[in-house]
Amino acid sequence: MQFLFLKKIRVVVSLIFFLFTVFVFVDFTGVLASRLIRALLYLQFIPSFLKFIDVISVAAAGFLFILLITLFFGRVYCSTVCPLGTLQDIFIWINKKIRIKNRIRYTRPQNGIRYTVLGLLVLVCCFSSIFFINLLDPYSLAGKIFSNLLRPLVYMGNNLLSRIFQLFDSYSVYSVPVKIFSWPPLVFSFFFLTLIIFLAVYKGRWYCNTLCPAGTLLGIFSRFSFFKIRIDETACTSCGNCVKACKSTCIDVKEKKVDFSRCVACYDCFASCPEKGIGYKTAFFNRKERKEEAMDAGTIVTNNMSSRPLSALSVLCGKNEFPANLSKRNFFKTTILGTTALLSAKTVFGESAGSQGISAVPVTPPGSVSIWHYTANCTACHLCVSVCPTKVLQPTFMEFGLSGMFQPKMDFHAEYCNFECVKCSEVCPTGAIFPITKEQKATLQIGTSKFIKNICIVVTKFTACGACSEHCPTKAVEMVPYLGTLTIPKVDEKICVGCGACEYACPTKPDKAIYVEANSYHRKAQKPKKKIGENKKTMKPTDDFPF
Amino acid sequence: MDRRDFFKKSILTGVAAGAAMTFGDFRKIFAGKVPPPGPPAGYDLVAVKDGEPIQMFDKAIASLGGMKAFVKPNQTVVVKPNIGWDTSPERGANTNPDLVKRIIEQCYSAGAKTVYVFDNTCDSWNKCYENSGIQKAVKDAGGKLVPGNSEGNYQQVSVKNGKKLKEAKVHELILSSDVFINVPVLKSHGSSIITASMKNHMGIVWDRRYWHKNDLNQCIADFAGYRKPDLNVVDAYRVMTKRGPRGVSEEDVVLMKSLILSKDIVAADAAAAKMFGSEPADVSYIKLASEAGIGSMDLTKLSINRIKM
Repeated sequence: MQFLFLKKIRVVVSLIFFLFTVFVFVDFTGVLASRLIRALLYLQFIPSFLKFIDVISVAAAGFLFILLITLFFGRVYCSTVCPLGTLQDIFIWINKKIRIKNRIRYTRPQNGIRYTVLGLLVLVCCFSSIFFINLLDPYSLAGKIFSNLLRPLVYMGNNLLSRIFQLFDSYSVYSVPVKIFSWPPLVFSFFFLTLIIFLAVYKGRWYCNTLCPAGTLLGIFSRFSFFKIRIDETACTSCGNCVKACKSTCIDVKEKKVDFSRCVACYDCFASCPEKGIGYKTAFFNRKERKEEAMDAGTIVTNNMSSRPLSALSVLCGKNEFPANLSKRNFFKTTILGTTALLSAKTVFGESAGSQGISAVPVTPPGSVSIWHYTANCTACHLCVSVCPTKVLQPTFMEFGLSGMFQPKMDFHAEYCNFECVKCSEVCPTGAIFPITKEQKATLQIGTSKFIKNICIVVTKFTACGACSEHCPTKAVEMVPYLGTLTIPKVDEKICVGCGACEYACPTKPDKAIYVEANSYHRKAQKPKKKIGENKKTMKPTDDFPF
Repeated sequence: MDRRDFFKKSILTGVAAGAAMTFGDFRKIFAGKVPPPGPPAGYDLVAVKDGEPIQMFDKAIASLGGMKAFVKPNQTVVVKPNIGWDTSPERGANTNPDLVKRIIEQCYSAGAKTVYVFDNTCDSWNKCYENSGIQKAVKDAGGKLVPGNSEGNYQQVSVKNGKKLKEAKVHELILSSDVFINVPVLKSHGSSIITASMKNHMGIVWDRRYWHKNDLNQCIADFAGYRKPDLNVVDAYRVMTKRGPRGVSEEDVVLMKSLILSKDIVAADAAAAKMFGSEPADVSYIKLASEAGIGSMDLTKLSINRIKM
């Protein structure tokens, strides 16, 4: 049986996933509900896997479905759900349309590199680091490309349109500021995109079968698939058409073998065979198939899954703060990782730590629990950066250390965190930012404001300012009498949530006179004061006009 | 007036202003020939209390000769409420949406061509517009709600007679519209005691930080003389008497149920300060603006219509 329709299904499904993912990353209208975004990113393999380690629940079991499908049909994920896979397919397709000569041929598997990379990654993971995952996870790489390269282009296009509309006195298309505050993520994304185009054109799905950790891991599972794509040796005439069609370069026509661990289940080979001799066969087809050796990777998966849940999160962040429980193992994992991450952050950027007006460690978004939890789980897909309505979330380069490369931080020079918004926590696919409610966020303290009196406008210029206090949503920054009629900021750290509005609004340059110092562990802030003094002179409804 | 006409008009205005400066107050030149502007009663300020925003505004504007005294047929109008914060109408941080709606309706009744509404907000503009209730109010009244978030819409102007503020980037609608109606909400403010008409102008310029950095009160007073609104409508229905200008909860709000209308931006703020419980002279920018001759803070010298509903 050949099932030629499978390719059509694959193309349709992959385009649906791809276009949706691209849209989520470039959209600025917030038209898609968080629930929908979560649902459609549910199957992203590595993010789901990372989330599952933290929150052992069906809500994060997307990767299990992928494993199940892989055990039946091979690496279907790589040709449907994976946005990087589809991105490569698009370039391969374009290349096929415009080039006469197809250079893609069978290559021997790069097992040395593949398993070394995966092994190294697993090893680093055991030492509780996300390093390599944030650089190699295909979904996050695609996310970085969409968020850092495509999104600014979409914004700029929109802004051009907005200007054109305005010429006709229509303000229906509003402009969206392109806020780029850090160039390395953009440069990295650009170079990676160039690389992936080059590889797609000359080497097909080389990345997926050499560097991609999801590809390698799924490849191990696909060795045990019940259905495999095989060549029917009796039908094969060794014409080699399937070899030319195979972008995974995994069909060896001499041996009449398909390296199914590298097959991304694109089904392009099915129609290429004039003898209809290639297609899905059960595991028992072609009996001389040699046994594959079981790999150790499976054990790691089960190990992590069997961890017992511990409500560390709830303990740290008040009762029922989060719907999630951290596993004990993961708690230690994150702690160890965080320490290493922070150590590297401090060694790299030691000079910034503790200097005036800059938080010693970057502030992490509400719901991320602690810098350790956050840096251990964020794959730097930059989805939060894309959906953040104010763009206070900005990608970093090395501020979280080498292992936390490109992870986003709260950049209060770029903007401040909207008091009523919990969007990033709702969409985060890896569980680096846990879902929180607006009510929880109102008292969630991600940092506290620090006032540097000697550079405040009120002190240096002796004029009124109060920009910080104006913007403060909890009035943790209050203007109190200073000299004469002047008032000066005073911070009540207990009710400060660390939203950064004060830091953003502060007009002093280059250092801000008020800034947010990160809470390494997010805490619970007190509710803003209820009863405060009445203004007795204010006109009462019963009073006459005071003039 | 559309964009093309705007430049024409800017030049003409410049010439007229130059002429006025050369010959002194041009009103004196034409004295006796042209009937004095304004309503027959000639009130400088109208204060209303104990009513709902819509009824209070109707009564107040009628006593100033109706909206027709301000808006001529086919003119463009820009209404500038305070939509600075992402909070609900009950919190009193933004101008009352009912009031904004009524003003737009009255402008259209007077024959306005287009009524624009915008603010350069502090919180995210789209959330402010939506949650303040003003988006719906403008839509219902048929006005044109314009985002104030794009620097491209702001044009560099020089502020004549400005002591600290010499130039500013002003939203093009303020420059191009025939009529400018300023609709602030009266609130407390941590560093300038109150915020009302003059401080509401911080939402028509692009770079507010410059003001904060260079003597806030002087900048407010400087800019008040740049483009005086044709009408100031101070919403004192829900008044944030403490923890302003953003406020923390509804506890900061006192139901004052009042409204002030005046062509004189300084007088409007002086009356608002009185209602708030402060002396106008204590509010630095009111004093500075009054001294600069932008308006009068001495309410005893003004003809005031006091209306109780």
